Amino acid sequence: MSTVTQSPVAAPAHRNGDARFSIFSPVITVEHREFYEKIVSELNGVFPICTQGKCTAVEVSEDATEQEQITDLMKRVESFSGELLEVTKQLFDQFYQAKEHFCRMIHGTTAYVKINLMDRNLLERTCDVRWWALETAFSDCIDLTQKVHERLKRLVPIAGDSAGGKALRKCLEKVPRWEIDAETNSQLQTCLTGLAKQLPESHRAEATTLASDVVLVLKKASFACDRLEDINNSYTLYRDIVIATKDGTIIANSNQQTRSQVLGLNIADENWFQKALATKDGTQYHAQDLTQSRLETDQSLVYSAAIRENSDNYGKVIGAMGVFFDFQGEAQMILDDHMARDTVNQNHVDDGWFSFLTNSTGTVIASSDAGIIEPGKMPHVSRKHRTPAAGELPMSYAVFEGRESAIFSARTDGYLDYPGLGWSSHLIVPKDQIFRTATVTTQLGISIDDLMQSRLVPEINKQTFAKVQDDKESIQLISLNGIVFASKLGKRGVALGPIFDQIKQTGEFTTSKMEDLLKEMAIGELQLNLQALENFSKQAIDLLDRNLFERAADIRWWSTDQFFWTALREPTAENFQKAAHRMEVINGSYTMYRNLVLANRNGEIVASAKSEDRNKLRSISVYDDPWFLSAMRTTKSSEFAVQDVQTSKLEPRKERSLIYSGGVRAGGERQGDPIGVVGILFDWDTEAKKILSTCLPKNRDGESIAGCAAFYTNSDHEIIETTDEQNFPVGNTLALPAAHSALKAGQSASGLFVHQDKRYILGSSRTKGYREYAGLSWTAHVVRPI
Amino acid sequence: MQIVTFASAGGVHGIPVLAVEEFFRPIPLTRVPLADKRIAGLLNQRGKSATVLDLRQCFHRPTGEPALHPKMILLETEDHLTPEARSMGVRSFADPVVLLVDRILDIVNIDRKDWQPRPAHITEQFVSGVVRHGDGYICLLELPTLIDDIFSPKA
Amino acid sequence: MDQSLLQEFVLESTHSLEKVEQDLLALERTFDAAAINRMFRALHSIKGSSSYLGLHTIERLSHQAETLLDLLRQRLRELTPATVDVLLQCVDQLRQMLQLPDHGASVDINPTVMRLFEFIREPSVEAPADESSDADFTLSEPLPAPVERATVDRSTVELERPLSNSSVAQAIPPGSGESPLGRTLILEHDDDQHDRNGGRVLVAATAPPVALAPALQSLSGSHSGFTTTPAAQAAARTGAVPHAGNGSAAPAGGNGSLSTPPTAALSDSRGDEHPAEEKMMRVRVKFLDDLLQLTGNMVMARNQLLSKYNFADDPAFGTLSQCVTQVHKTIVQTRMQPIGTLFDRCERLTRDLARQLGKEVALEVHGRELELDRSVLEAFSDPLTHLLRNALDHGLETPQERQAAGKTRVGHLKLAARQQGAEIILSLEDDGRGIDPDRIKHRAIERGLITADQAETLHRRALLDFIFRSGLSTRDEVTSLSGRGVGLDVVRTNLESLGGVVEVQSTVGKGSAFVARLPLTQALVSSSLISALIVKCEEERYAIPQTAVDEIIKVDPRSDRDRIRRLNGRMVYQLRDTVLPVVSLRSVLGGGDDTPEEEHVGERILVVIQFRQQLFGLLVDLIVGVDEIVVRPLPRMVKNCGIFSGHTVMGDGQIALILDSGGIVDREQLIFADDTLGTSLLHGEREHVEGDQRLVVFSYSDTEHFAIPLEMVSLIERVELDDIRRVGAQEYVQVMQRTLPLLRLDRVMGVGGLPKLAESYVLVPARVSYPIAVLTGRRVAVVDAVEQFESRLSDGQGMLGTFMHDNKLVMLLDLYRLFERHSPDRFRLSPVEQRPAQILLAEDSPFFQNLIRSYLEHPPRRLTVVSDGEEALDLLREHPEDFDVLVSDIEMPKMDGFELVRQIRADAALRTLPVIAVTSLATPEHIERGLREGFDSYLIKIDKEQLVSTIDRYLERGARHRAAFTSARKGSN
Repeated sequence: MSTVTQSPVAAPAHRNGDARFSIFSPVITVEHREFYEKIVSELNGVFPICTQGKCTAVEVSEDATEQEQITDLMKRVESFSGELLEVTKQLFDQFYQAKEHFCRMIHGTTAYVKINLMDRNLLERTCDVRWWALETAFSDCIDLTQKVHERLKRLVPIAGDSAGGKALRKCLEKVPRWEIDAETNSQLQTCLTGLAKQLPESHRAEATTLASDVVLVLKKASFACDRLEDINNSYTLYRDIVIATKDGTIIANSNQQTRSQVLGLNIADENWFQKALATKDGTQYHAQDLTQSRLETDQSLVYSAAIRENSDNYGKVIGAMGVFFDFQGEAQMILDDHMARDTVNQNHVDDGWFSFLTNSTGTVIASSDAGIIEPGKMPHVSRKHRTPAAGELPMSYAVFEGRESAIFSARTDGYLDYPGLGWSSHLIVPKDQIFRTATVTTQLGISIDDLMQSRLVPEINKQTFAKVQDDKESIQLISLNGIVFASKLGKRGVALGPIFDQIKQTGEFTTSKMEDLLKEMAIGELQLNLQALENFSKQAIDLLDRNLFERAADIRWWSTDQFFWTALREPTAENFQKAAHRMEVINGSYTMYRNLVLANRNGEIVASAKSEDRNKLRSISVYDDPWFLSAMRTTKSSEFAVQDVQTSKLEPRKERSLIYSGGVRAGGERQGDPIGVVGILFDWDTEAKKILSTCLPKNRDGESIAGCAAFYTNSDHEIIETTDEQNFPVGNTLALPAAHSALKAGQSASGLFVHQDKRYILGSSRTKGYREYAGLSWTAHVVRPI
Repeated sequence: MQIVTFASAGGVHGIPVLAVEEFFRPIPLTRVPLADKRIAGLLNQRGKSATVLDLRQCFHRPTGEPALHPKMILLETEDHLTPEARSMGVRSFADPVVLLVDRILDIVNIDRKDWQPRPAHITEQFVSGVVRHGDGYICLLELPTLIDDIFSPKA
Repeated sequence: MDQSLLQEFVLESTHSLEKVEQDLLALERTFDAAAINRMFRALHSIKGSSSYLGLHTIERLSHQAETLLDLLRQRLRELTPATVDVLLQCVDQLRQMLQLPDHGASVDINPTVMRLFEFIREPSVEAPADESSDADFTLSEPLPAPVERATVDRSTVELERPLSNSSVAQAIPPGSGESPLGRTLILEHDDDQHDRNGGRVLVAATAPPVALAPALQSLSGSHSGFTTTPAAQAAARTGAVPHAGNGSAAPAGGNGSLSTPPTAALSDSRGDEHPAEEKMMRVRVKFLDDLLQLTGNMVMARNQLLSKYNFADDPAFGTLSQCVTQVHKTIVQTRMQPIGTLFDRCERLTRDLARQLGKEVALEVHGRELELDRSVLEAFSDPLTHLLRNALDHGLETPQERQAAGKTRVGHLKLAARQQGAEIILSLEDDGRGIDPDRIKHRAIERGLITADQAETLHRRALLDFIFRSGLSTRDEVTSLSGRGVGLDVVRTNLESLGGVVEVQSTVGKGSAFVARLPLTQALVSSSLISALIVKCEEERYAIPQTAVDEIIKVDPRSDRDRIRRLNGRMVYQLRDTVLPVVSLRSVLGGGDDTPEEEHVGERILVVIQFRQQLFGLLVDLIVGVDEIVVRPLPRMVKNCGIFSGHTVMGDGQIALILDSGGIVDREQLIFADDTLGTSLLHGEREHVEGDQRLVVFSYSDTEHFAIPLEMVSLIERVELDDIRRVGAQEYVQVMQRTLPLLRLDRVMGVGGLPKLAESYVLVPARVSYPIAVLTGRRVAVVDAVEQFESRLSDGQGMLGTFMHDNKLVMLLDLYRLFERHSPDRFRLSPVEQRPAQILLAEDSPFFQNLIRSYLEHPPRRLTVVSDGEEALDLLREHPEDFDVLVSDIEMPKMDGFELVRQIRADAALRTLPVIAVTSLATPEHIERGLREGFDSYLIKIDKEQLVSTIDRYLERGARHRAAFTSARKGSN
């Protein structure tokens, strides 16, 4: 998952040049404006009092020094009032800018996360297509089919125009194709055997072998289709997977419903096919942006790679595989996620919120409200947003659908070695949502003073708060001095007394009002922080779920591997060696697995990917390990089992591992009891640590805030992965607040959290799984110290 | 009589308003090594050099930790006392003196008959009396006795 | 209106009475008619005003005094000390009455009046009209009788309008028989027409003024004023004719001149009296003090502004700043008074005491014009009076005793005040009987102040110091003057409380000199502007008055040379050749003990402070700089700290305390180098009055002890033995950045060697062209030699003699002899053939007699040694031709070197004899005085080559001097 830091990069540039929130800006709420007017009028009222004070000074005493003392006091009051006025003006500007900054942080990152999720997903797809293209079943089938075709083609002129020749030619063109349709195949067979009799001696042998080869082609083609179906069952996010011979005819696909139309089609002219053939070696692939294809009804996103002779990375290209990704389904799921949800009944809040994706040319390719923002059309937003520059997170205010809104956009920056297709994601939020005052004033039991001093409140607020306190003290001192002075003048001073009283009273009123505003700002700041933490925790858990989903797909696919069930069925050393070698190849190309093991029916490890501890593992029995038992209980190849994170004897270096397992069924059957179990030890914590570190909150300048930490806890609240070993070590069970420990799947919560007598605010989100992966009821937490 | 009340060393104290020349925020002091611990130091206010008394130190058992924003009270010198003040029995000293207190509260009007003599549990000699005010009570300070004690410390 | 008038009168009169007193004192010395005139007029005006203001007692007393003065003025009475006495008494009483609230109304003035009458009635020498005076006094006259029937036989009438000769003659028939005016005599008719206020006729008439009035009235006619003055006798007058208001004639405003307010008369008379003196004005002192306080604030405010906004280059601010300093300076000036005012009072006191004791005293005063602040003057007045009383009572002998002792009848008292560097020095010298140390010793033992054997070890100067101890009055009977045992200790305590010090120097029979010193730093006057060194210690700033700061040194414990060492527990620092006690400001201020000598402590700053002629070092953290600060007194509540003398306000408005060096010394009980006597290791040139001999004693082993005269040692340094480097046969050692050859005694003398030691001391000789360091082992001490010195054992090989010191035999070394044996090539005297010479050596200390004899007495030269100036003088007088050159010490009993050379220069025969001074008095004053008195050259003890070469130089002149005699004798006989 790419780092969240991307989003705030734009923020600082924006901060100093940002718009001033003059008091008359529509955004400022009515109460605030009244508030402002009251302070200003009160402060302006002080100046006439001071001038009056100066005049009475002259009347009251002839002594020059006394007069000078009084006027001096008055001047100082005037200067303080002036200062307070100045501060009041800035106060509002500060307040609203803080709000704007937060919204940028929350919504900006949400827009970015959406496109980032898509990129991460597509990265996995690019791996799949390259891996599957090397599957032997496919290369064998294509190789044989192509050879039989050539021999048939050579046979046709020999057979000439004779009845057999014509019949032959008819059979070859007959649809459904002979390669895949049993009936046509048998007709071709008979035609060939008939032809063999008529042909001269030299070709007779050829014809008879062709007859048997044609049956072989049928069997291999249908076997290829079965394998493709296995893949589709494991990786549920493909519409269809097809393989095609060098000349472009589709000979196998994974989608049974469309198989009859698809097989036999010639797609030599389609771009993805030509690019696949042009790839140099097994590591290259072609990602095709959304285009129309004859194989599909909707626009489809195609990844293709070349099939090579005897599935060797650098072998001769003999065909191509095309993978049709269910883009629309995935996009819809991502766009609906992270939308403002009415906290009470969990459905969408009223309209005004829109989220959509655009491709590199700026046309909409997916939208949360297809009716308003139609796919295929240009969205009504400025070019800066339609095709934002890389790495930038533009934000601007515009009227959308007749409503003042803020638009946040983020361009893809790919993920790891997947460059992305130049798409961008957009989020539209109603403007008043940004500046709504914090209705809920739960202070989470933190006193105002602590809050003001906490690290949540930006430095500038603290300085203003101190300034107001200072001015309040000064005014109090001046008025006290004034009263003392007046009392000293005795009866002459009577006129001065009320003046100083009034000054004191005004001073107290204005400063207390301003303190209230500052407190409200502090609470607002707290609220926004809580919301941000919730967002971060949600991102953390979603990214992890998707990653674990991929692992579930891998286990289901690999447990159907031919080598494994052959080794289990004929437990010969040589078969075990082949199976082990197969595991080694898998482990080599997928970096995120520590080890793969194959266990027979009674729990003995018969093969494993890592050669060095192979003999050690042989002596281990996993019979009573949960992953082995639950895998043995699976009945279908589309089922799998997961053992939660714990130490396992399979791990020589005692790391805590997450074990996925799937039943191996003889002959690659899809049903029935397994004859053994394949287990994969997922090196999950390096992946998890990376995800957690990207979900740490950042300050306005993009640096990560000191003291923050993110960690996952399992179902009994034990920390299983963390970014801060010192304060939140792995294995430590946390006493979480009630709201956080009783979260239901997919729910998030935020609030105060006291740990080792340090005070934090905490955002937590519980997993809601992803597609078939139900998740292990883990929760992601992100904390920020107060 | 009008008295100004201020908080220090955990209690509320008061002195006649007419004895005060000015309130101000603390300015840097110069420590006087080897001097009586009750003397916080010397300061220069408006050309006059004044001795600063730390009220906390003057109490035998000060409670509560020192204030975050202490205040300073410059007292009138003898020659500046207004006749009216003298008539009310306000006494002062030749050198300018400043009191360092935790917080200045308010100016309160009290009349003679509410005064009660110093209760037993207050051992400080310079508390001349006590007056009930609101829910607590205000100790009235007789600063000249304190100053005399500094000149010739008995205990 | 009346009150302020009275005030004015009191001020005026006090001032004029002071003037009168001066004149009286001056009169004793030289007769001055003008002075009498001035006094007469002053008394006359006081009488006039007092009668106008109804102060009758003052009026009567001043009238009598005036009468007496008038007689004196007309030389009808002889001016004798007695008259001056009575007049002084009268002036005192008048002054006292003026100060009283009721202005003397209740004072009984009769005794003074009686004494005045004695002089007034005394038959004057040539007064013809003696018998006619029928003045009879009725002493018990009721007080305020307006017309007083004191008929005086003479009165002068003075007409104040242009009169032609004729009209005068017609009104007052000259010299004819009885006329209403009695016998009249026109003394003077000054009809100087052009004199604006009319000619004046001075008529002496026998009738009392009251009788003259009607006649005169006719004379003056319309003219407003005529004044009659009951002058006794119209003496021949020169210069201004006195004219004064007439009190008795017309009491009720009859006399025109009184109609004008008396002050005008007063001022006229005074103005007229000394036109040259610049205008004086009486100002109440309180105003001055307030003014000074305010200007002090102004200066401080100016400093704050300067530091905050550095207006330095702004011309307007420049002028303002300059004016402020100027104003401040002038105001400080107003408080300054010449010390002369104090000395005048002394003159009066001396005169009175002398007369009371029947002693004749001549008081000689120097430095009258030295201006001091009022507070300093007051500080000096008490001690000075005590010293004067003591000098007159104990010091000066009665005239008879003096004559018996061959002295002049009149005792000499010399009172001098001067400012030297940071100190005010007040000295009172008398040529009286001096103080006999032995008597003091007995008295002190009697009083139990010291034990007998302690007294033995104390040398003369310490004994003399005892007279300042309380309860030690050497006089047996108690005179009213010096009081019961109230000795000079009061003087010392007074001065010391101000940070000053008093010392006494005296030689029996010749007289004694009391010197009081008051450091200017102590004379800190509130609001005065002084420049001060600002130092920082533990983040606080302190000011040290610049006058007290002698030097500032950076001390680095790592470098070996300028290190602070611990000497029996006390920190010391060696500055050039003196040892300073050192104290750390941090520990003084109660900051816990400070260990500057440890290596790890970084560089520190040492401020060398001068306190009462002694130096001590103060360690501070850093020096901030030098500032002009306004001194403010220490607020009363922090006065008892003891180490601060005041405070000031710095540029940034914060207060800084002023350190009091005296306070620090007392608090830390610092011991100064020479006080430690026996214990201090090092000793540099020190101006010591006595000729006693001090020695550095060291020992090689428990039996062998050596000593070298202190004057010959410049430095004693500590050295590690492994620092000594050997080059060939010669050993060298590093001392004070110089490599010196090392001398081991056992090499050049027959003594045992030094035991093997890690560390040892080394003596560096003073004033030697090729210095050689002498290895002295660990035990080195400075000791006062005792008299019994044996020179018999001198072996001429470098051992001058031996002496016993706390029952150990100590050998006195002749360093030069030892150096010659150590490196003969350097020290051999040039073999030039020495001229034969007869040398007379006047030297009281046996050591130096031997030492110099060993230097000079090589054949063919002969040395005659005498032990004091008198002996030398007598010897020279008997056979002037016998000696080519006189080598004389200065501090010698009976007659010191100065006196000796003065007598020689005064003696016609001996005038041309070359005289060379060889002494340890090394201060510039002494040298200058020596050369002034007549010494041909002035050598500091003791440099062999220099002495020998100087003598060679003068031998030639000496020879001529002797040749002159032989020729003279040849001529005479």
